Formats: sequence, structure tokens, C-alpha cells
Amino acid sequence: MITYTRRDWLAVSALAGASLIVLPLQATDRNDDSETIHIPGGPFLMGTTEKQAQVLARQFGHHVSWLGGEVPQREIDLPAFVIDKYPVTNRRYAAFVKAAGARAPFDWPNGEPTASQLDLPVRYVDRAGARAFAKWAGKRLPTSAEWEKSARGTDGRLYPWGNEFDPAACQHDPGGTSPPTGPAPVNAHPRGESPYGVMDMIGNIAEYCDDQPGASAAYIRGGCWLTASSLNLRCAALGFSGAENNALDYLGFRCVKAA
Amino acid sequence: MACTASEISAFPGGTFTLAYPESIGDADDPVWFGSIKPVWEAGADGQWISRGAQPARLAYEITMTPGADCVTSQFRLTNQGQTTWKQGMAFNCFQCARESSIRDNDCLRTWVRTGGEFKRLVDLPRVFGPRPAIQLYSVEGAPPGKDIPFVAGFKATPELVIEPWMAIVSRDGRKLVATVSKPGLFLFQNREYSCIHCGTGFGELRPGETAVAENRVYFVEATLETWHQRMKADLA
Repeated sequence: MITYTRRDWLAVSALAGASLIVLPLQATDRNDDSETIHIPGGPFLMGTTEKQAQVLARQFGHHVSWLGGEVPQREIDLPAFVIDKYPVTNRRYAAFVKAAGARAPFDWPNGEPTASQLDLPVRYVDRAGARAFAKWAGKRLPTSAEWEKSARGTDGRLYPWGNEFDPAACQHDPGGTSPPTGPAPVNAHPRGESPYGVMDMIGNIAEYCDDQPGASAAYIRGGCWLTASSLNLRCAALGFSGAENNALDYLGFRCVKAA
Repeated sequence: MACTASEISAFPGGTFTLAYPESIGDADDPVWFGSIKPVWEAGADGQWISRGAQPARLAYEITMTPGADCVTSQFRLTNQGQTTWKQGMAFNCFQCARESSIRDNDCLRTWVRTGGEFKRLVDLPRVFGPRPAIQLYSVEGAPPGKDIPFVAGFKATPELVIEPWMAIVSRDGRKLVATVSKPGLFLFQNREYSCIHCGTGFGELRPGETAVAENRVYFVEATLETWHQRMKADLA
């Protein structure tokens, strides 16, 4: 008997005369030994309805125009694709730097990540650097729509795990007088899992997408360890989108490829 | 073009970056910081003087004078071109990302004043533009942002007018940093860097003409209301 759970998406194919063969849809890629997740093709709800925006703006004490770019909500039909389960880590990026001679991120001492940095998301990489990694790995950056579907599934939920913010589900700024502590290992928040099993979409590092709202800019999704308002940690939030050439302490990425 | 402010009594160990100016000249076609290599010279009493020029276009001099809890920057801008500038400007970046007690990428502690009331930026209308993390604002005593080519070009200026200053209050609410210009031309805030800018206006500048203006950044232990009263008196 095969049990399906949202956590363990499985592909099942029947062979003539044989029992079922079960193939996990978590693959290893050519140059980048990352876990990936299959996102099935089909429609999903992207963005926020005007009514939701009004409610959220009141709830969080923002002018409603701060949600401007994500309104109205629309149904987007995407083909199937495969996305990295986690953001690219320093460990994965180090393999790229070594193999391709790429420039090491600013926060690596002596051009290599320390042991304590290996499982943290890579930072201080601009979109050109992110695209170079993706190309080396045989992948590309996700579009903003692919990113959002991977994070929230098909039902228009606010956060990967549901409609209520869970402070234990992501690395963010909890507020108060003490400053946030910086990024966490990409697997530190298992409660942040998306409906497809994609991890760390919200908080930790904000993620570069392949498309952009304007020239020389990039959609940047998910909020980060500096984000204090859970309004900005929703799957639909777009307000951090900005220049594509920033290599900052809260920006990272993950990759996708065709299914 | 950048310098750092450190050894600040209200922010022990803290460092702030001043990219002064990030852009300067004709508001219709300003020169960006990468195009000019300024010369810095130490002056008396802790002053620093920065001089930059682009031949046949412009020259400027900024005298930065540190005070007990502020830095005053006096700008002298000369139009060395052949045509009249409708509006001379300096775009002054006050970057707060390196001071964790101030850094405010969500704009929850970033304050302005409009209609006689203090407002957080998140209380005010915002335009979702081609670079959503940034926003510009029209200020009192200056032309509307839509009429200033430099401002209008960003396509991110909501319909409201605010006083020519912007402040970020610390996480504990006990201190703040602020930037104010006299005369102020516009305000700018960038969530990417938690930086605030108060553009300095020089008005119309004919060929060969020089104008002066001032910007001040504050690093104070005070409430917003108390600082605001002091700032008004300082710049009266």
C-alpha cells in the first residue's frame, strides 16, 4: 500500500505485469547535488484580492497602497517545473566558485565559507551571480509566478503553512529592542514547509527571481531575517523587489528547471 | 564620494555612511557619483571638505562640519555648463544599514510629518513603481515631485506633500537619526539599504552661477517631538 502525503510527493508508474514502482520526485542535478521538488502543472491563485488587501492593511496598520503590486488576485496557469527544496547554501555556492572560478561572496573569509557558514543561505550575490550559478547547475532562476506557486500552492493561502503567521516557521525579525540575529541554516524551520514540501521560502533570505517589475530591477520574494512585519512575510508580498545588482546581506536565491 | 560617521555618543560603536552627494547638478540631467572622483581635504575643527567637478558641466564643494550630535554639510554648487538649469539639486544618501538599532527595512520606525501630524511611512500612500523598494516624496516649499525630472523619472511619488525631513527612530524608541535640508527639494527612502535622503535644492542656476544650500544629519537621544522642535529652531 502506498500512502501519499503532501510532504512526500511521489511519482507512481505501473509496469506491465509488475507491482507499482515508486519514484520519489526528489532528484539530484548535474553540477549541484541539491534536493528538488516537483511542482505539478496547472493553475494557482497569484496575488491578493482587493478585499483581502483592505483587511490586511487595517490589520497591520499600513496604507492599503503598500500592497499595490500584488492586487488584484488572478489565476495563473503554469506548466510543471522542478524547484530547489532549499535556497542555495554557501556549501553549494562554494562548489560553483571552485569549479567555475566565480567570485566568492563578501562574507567568506579567505574566499571560502567557514564550517558554520556552510548550511546558511549564500548572500552577497547579485542577480547576475545567481544566474551564473543557475546556468552552471543546469537550471535557471524562478519567475515570480513560479516562486509564488511553490510557496503557497493553489489555494491562495497567505503563508506556506496556512493563513495564520507562525513565528517559529521562519527566520525573521521578532521585534523588540534586540536586533535580529542574522540568517539561519536553510533547514532550521521545518514548520515553514510549503504545500509541496518546499522549505525556507519565507524569511531567512529574500530571493531573486528571473523577471522584473522594471528596468534593471528584479522581483525579490519572501522577506528575510530583517523583516519585522509579517505583512511582508506573506507569499504574495512584493515590496522588497528592487535593483538587480545589489549584493546585500539579506539577498539570496534558489533555482528551478523544466519538469 | 562616501564617508562614514562614527564615534557618535548616542550610538556607541555605530557607523553610518554618508554618500554625499550620490548625485548632483541639474535635476534634469544630474551627475552620478561614479562619474566624479572628489578630493577630500581635512579642515579646521574636524571639518572635511570635499571638492568635485566635471569640466564644462559643474563643480561643487561640500564642507562637512561635525557637531556634538549632528553633521552639517554646506554645499556650493556651480553651473559650469552653457545652459540654465531650472533646478539644481544634490541627492544625499544617509545609509543606516550598519547600525542594527536603527536599520528599518520595513519602514515601521521611519517617520515624516505631513498635515501637521507625525506619520510613519507605512501610514502614507505608496506608488508601486518599476523598483518597488524605493519611494520619493514631494516636500513643502519645493516644486511637486512630478515637476522635478530627477524625481519624476523614478515613477514612485505619491500625491502628498510633507516637511523636508525624514527620521528613523531606534528600536527602543529612545533615540533617532534624521536628515533635513534647507532648502529641501524632495525626500527619498530605499528599503534595500534602509537609507533616507533629503534632496537639497539650489533653485535656478544660470551658466557660471553658484548657489549654496545646507543639509544636516542628526544622531540624537530624544523623542521625535522634542527633536522636531529643536530642528525647527536650529534651521530657523
